[in-house]
Amino acid sequence: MGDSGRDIFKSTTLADKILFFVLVLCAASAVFLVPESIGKRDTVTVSFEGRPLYVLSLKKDAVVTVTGALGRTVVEVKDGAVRIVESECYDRRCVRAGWVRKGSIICLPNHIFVTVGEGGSEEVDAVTG
Amino acid sequence: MPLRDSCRVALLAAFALVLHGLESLLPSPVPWMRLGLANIITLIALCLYGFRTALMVTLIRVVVGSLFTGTFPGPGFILGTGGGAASVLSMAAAHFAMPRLFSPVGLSIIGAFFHNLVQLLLAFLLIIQRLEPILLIAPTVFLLGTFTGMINGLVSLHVIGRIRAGQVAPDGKQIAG
Repeated sequence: MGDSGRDIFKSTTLADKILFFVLVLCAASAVFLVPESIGKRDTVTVSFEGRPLYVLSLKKDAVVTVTGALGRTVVEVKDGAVRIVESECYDRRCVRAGWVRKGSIICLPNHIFVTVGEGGSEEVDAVTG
Repeated sequence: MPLRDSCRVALLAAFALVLHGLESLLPSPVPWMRLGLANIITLIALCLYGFRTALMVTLIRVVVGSLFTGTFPGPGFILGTGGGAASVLSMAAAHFAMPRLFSPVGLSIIGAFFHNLVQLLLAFLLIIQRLEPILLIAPTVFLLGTFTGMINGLVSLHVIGRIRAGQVAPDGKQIAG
């Protein structure tokens, strides 16, 4: 090998280095950001006390009934949104939350969590009351 | 085309095919992950002999290479051709529109980027037809492509430097040192 590796690096240009680092930075951050923003958003997880009972797709309309601590909760998925239709709990706050496209609906009395995206129950440290 | 140029194209295409074939023997964790070693030859052809030679070498490589690996008229062939053409065109555009702004290393990274961009687009249009898997895989593809592009560029730079310095003739014969 006639010329050393150092000569090779010397003959690269500033534009080379900028291009390289910008691309690596963009791609590396996208590796982490893209799955968060698109990959998991489609799923609806219905769980009782942290245990997933149903994993539904936001794109497919569906109605499921689950049994919680106090009674039944009816969850409906329609047109990319999810709501709790009715729940056998005492305050019906979950029903009044209406249609949700992201985030969660929580029926605290009935211990039912409806989360758009994954890992919904992991975002909660503890349930009291 | 003069005989000298034809011989040069044939020789470079043969080099590219050898690298292409060797690469297909290497184990890869996922089938779409490739080093793109043949791009080294495209880059050398572009920098030393111009756009036409580089384009012909690449087209010969994708067609004959796909005959070797048995992907000829299928989607793999279309992806390979699209990627190869995108790579040559983008590298040539950068090389001739902004001479000396990028060294072969920068050109190689640009080529890898457009190669991947076009392949992802073609994969979306022809095979997968769903946006989410493409978007999910794209950042990883671009990240790896930037690294492999850089490595291929460094190899090209080394070879181009030696050919220009007259240490090695383009036909591979060692002249001196």
